[in-house]
Amino acid sequence: MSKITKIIVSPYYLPIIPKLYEKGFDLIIKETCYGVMISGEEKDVKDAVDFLRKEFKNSVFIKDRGFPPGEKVRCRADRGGGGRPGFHQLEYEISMLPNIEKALNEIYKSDKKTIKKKKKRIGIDKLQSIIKENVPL
Amino acid sequence: MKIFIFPPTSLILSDLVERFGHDPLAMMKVVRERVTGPSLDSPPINVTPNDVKDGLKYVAVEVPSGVRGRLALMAPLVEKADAAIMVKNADYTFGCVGCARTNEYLRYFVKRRRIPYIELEYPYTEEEAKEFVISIKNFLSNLENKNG
Amino acid sequence: MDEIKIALLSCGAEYSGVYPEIEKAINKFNAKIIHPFVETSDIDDAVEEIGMDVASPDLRLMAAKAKSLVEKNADADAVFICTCFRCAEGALMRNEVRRYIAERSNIPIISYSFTERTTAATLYTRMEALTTTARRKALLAIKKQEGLTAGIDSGSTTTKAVVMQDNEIIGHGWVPTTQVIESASKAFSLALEEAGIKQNEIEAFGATGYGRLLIGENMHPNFVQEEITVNSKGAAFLADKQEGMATVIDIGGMDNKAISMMNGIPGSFTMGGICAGASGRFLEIASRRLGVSIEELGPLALKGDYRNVEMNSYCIVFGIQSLVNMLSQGAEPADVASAACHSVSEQIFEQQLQEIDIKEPVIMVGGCSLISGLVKIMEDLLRVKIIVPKDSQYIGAVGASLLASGFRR
Repeated sequence: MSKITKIIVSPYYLPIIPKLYEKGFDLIIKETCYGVMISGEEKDVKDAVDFLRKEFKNSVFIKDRGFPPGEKVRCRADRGGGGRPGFHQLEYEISMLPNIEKALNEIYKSDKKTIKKKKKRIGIDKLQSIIKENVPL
Repeated sequence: MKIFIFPPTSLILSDLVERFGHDPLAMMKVVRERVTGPSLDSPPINVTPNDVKDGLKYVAVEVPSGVRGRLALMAPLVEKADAAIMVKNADYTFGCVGCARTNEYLRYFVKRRRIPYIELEYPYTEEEAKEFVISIKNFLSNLENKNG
Repeated sequence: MDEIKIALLSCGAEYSGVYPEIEKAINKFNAKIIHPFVETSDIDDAVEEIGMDVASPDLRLMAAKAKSLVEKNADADAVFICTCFRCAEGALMRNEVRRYIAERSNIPIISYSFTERTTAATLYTRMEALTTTARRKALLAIKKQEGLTAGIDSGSTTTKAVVMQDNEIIGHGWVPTTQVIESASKAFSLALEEAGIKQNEIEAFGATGYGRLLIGENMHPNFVQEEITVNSKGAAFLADKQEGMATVIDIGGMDNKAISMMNGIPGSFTMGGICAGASGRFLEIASRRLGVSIEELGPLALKGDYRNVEMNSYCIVFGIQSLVNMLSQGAEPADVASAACHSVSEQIFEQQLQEIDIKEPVIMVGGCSLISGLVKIMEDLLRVKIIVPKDSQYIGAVGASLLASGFRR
C-alpha cells in the first residue's frame, strides 16, 4: 500500500479535525489556511473521506493532493515565500463552493433521477419595463 | 469510468466526479507519483529535460519547452480517459495549468480523441451552479447508460 | 558576504526541467530565490495596471508578482525574469514586466528565455553580475580612478590590460589570447612598460573576462569580476556618461553583451554567446576570405552596400559560404564586407537588443567597435548615433582598473 494525501475544503468552519480525531483514524492530519490535509495509507484515507462525506454531506469538498503535508519543495516557509501555484485556483474555487453545495442539496432532495435544464421565463413586469425603456412611443 | 477533468487540478470537478461515482483523472495523482518516488531529480515537480522530450510525442520541437513539459504530464491523462468534463472559463489556473497554449492543446486533444465530453462554464450565481452540477450529473449518468 | 534575495518571476521553468538549474546558479553566488506574495484578487488589477492582457495565467501571475515587488510587499534585492524560449506571449510579457519594474524601482533585473537544455553554467555570469550589482553598491558607485591601478580583461580572443593613474590611462597592453595566464602576463607587462611602472608599484588590480577565474587563482588580483558590471563601469568612464541612462553594446570575439545602465550601473542586460555568427569571429573569417586584415574590414565595408549581396544565413558556416559564393560570382569586396557587418549587426539587433530598452546615448565597445562598417550598420538599424569612445577595445581592463581604486591599501 502506498501513502496518499487528500485535502478537505469547506466554505465555512466545520469541526472536521475533532471529528477525525474522535474516530481515531490512523492519519497525519494538518490544518492549513485553506483546508485540512489528511495523509496516510490509501485505505485509511478512503475510509476517512467516506466518513467525512457522510458526516458533512455536501458541505465538504475533497481532492487529491500531490505533495505530502509540509513537503519542503512546495511549502511556503521553505521555498522563499509566496503562495503555491495551486493556491490561487483553490481560493477561486472556494468562492463558488456555497452555490455548489446548494445545488447538490437540491439535486439530492429531488426524486427525479435526472433533472432537465429549464430556462426561467422572464416575468411579465420585467418584460413590460424593458419594452418601455427600449421601444420609443 | 475514468474522467479527464479540466482544469485537471480542480477541487470542484474532482469532488463532483468522485461524488457521482467515477474516477477523476486529476493532475494531483500524477504529481504524487513524481514527487514521492525514490528520487527527486528535478524539484519541485520532478519534470526533467527528458520529460520535456517526451512532450515531442504530442507537439513539435518548435513548441516551447514549458508546453512540452506540461503535456508530458497531462496529455497521458487524456489518453487514459473514457470521457472528459472541461470548464471553459477557468481563468485562475496556475502552475501545471498556467500556460494558455498548453490548455488550448489539451482541449483540442480531448476532441481529437473523440471521447464523449462536455464543456461548461464555472458558475457565478446559484442558478448557474445548479445547472453546472446537473449537467455534470446528467453527463455522467448518460455515460453509464450508454455503457451499461 | 550577505545573502542576496532574488525574486524569481518565471513561467514554464518548473515544467521545462530547468528550475533546479536556475536555483543552482542563484545559490552559487550566495543568493536565494524568493517568490513575492500575491493575493488572488491582485492578479487582474496588476494585469490591468501593466496593461498587457495576456491569456496565460502564469504570465498574469508574473504581472502580479511584479506589482507586489514594486509596492515593496516583497523584500528582494534583485529580480530574475524568465520564460520559455519561442513563446511569443512569454517574450512580450517578460519584456513589459521588466520595463514595469525598471521604471518603478532601482532593483537590478535580468531577463532570460530558457529551453530544456539551459544549464546552471549558462546562467553563472548573469547571476554573478546580478548579485554583484545588488551586493556591491558602494563599490559600483566609484566614478573616478584614483592612485595607481591596473586592470586585465582576459577575453576569449584577445587579452587586454591597462595601467591607470589619477583618472588617466597611462599604459596599454593587447595580445591575442593563447594560454590565459601567459597572455595576461604579457598584456600586463606591455601596459606596465608603456606606463614606465614596475608591477610592485601598482596599488591594486582587478581581473575580468572569460579567463578571470584562472587569473584570480594564479595572479592574485585584488578582485575578480564578471564583465557585465566591469564593462558598464568602463563604458561610463570612457564615454564620460556617468550620470543617467545609457546603453552599452559590447561585441567581442566570441560573445556579446547589451547592457542598459543607469548611472554607470547595469540595470537590465542580455548576453549572447550561442551563435558564432553574431560575434567578432564571423568578421575575422569574413576578412580572411576577403584577403584583408580585420583592421581593414571596417573602412572597406563603409564603401560598400550590403544590399548588393545575397546572404541566406547568419551562420558562420553557411553565411560565410554565401559570401564566398558571391565573391566567386564577381561581387564587389566592399559590398561583401558590408554584408558581413550587416549580418552580425542584424542578428544582434534581432536576437539581443530586443531584450533591453535602447536609451541614448548608445555606447559601443569591445574589439568589434573598432570596425567602423559594423558601427555604421548598427547605427542604421537602431536609427541612433553611436558613441565609440577612445580605447573602446580596452573597456573591460579600464573598468577593472577603475574598480580596483576601491581596493587600494
